Amino acid sequence: MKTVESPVLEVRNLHIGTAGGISLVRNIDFEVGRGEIVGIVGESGSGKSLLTLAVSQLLPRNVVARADVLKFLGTPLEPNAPSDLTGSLLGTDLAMVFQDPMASLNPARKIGSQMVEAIRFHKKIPKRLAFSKAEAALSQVQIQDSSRVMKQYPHELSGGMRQRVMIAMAILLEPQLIIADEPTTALDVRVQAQVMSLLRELNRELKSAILLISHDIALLSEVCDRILVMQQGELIETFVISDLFARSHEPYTEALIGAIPTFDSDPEKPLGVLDDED
Amino acid sequence: MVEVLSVEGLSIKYPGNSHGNAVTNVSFSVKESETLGLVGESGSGKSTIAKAVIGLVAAFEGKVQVLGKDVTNPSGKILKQLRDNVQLVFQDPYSSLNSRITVGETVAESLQVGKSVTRREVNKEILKYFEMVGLKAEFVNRFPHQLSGGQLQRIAIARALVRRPRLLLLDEVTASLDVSVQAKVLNLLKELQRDLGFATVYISHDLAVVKYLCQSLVVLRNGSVVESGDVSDIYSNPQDLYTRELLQAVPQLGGQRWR
Repeated sequence: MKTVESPVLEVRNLHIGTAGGISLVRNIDFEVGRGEIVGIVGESGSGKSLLTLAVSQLLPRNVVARADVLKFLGTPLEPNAPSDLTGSLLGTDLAMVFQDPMASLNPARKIGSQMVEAIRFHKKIPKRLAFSKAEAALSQVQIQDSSRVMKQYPHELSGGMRQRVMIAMAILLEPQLIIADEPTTALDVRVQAQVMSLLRELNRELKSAILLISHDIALLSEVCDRILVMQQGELIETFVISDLFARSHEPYTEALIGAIPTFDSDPEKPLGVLDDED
Repeated sequence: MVEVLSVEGLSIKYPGNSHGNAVTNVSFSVKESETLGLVGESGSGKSTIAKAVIGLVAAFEGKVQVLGKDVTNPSGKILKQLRDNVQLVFQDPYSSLNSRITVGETVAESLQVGKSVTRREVNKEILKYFEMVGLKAEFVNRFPHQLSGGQLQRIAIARALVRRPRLLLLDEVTASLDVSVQAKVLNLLKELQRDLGFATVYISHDLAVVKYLCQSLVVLRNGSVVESGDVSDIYSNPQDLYTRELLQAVPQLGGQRWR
């Protein structure tokens, strides 16, 4: 495997399993370079989300991970969740954006106060300064009326706006790596396009690397430098995006590609399917 | 070909909401063996239209006809007949199937409504429909929690088909499925339509799926039609700016537009 120079994230031989010994994710090797956008594609249960939870130290307590190497910015990480998140990388150099912003935001508190809390948890700066930082971050994710949004509750915002708020919170402390797990799955297609181009712009401006998780290989192919394919807990293939059509892939990857209807699909022909048990 | 569904000038109001309609002046029609795509973003009114067709929400203005018969705001005998001819399949099979009875029993219930059939006939029919949707006979005795999302969606389709409908309303039926499972369900729907000749209204926000499955298309925005017509015409030459925006936003394999 090609190695990336001074990667933001380096993972060697990562295994994740239940405390009872059932293997969930096996033998994962990959890295994310500085400023790189890497996509992980896989179906439900392929382990793609578990993988990101191990990296961000958010694994549930009954799930354990071990790895030969798990390094973030050259520093070894303990994949199993520490009991105290103070001083953890999460929220500073490493930020997460999840699928459902409504489940990530506190419904009872205004956007501004949640963002200020996120900043001051990591950095002891005056409230007023944190407030203006938060407002600036909202402008950065192209929220026009950032001072008004600061005073609003999550339920007052549309799905796309909420996801922008989540991304604004992710970039508050200028992370080296943003992990986005199905960030646009719940959004309408035009809003998805806006969020994707926003992520791309932030990647250029802030030089943050992005690890983007999705079940949609077409979406990933629009934005990623490299794509990793996961199947049933294993990383079966990695390819750079220029190789998407340039070379043949693992049968599973080919099947994933063939299963997606595109504007060019022939309506007379059945879509490609995977041979599995029904 | 026989016109199965015709919707003319349909408007729908939600009770208590005096600000505008949920759906305004929508018209379209579908013939047998044909699939019409009803597309639009959240809140565009696409599901509400399907509910009005089957009498689950009241039409405020306009006319719904199934097989030439007026079924607007149906009740009594007309409603019964309507639900023999028209069946609806929902997005989430987990919440639309009864978790306390076997999936075979679910299909049997649908088969028995308003009909006197012997248990032996019922069993035979169930197996026929299980085979038709590509499920093994042994699945009959399983409960919903023992099946995958794709398998459950096949059960929901079988439950609809045993009524021998002339029109299927499919509301985002593959939206919660993995792409490989979606492919199987789409292939199955095409095959069944070819064999059985029912008309389909396919509600979706996925324009690539709609292009693959449908012959005609209605694009909705805030409850109104912005564009409608032949799928190939609209995709190759969208007249409305909104349709164009929708089409341009669809991720394409290898598109690299955000790189």
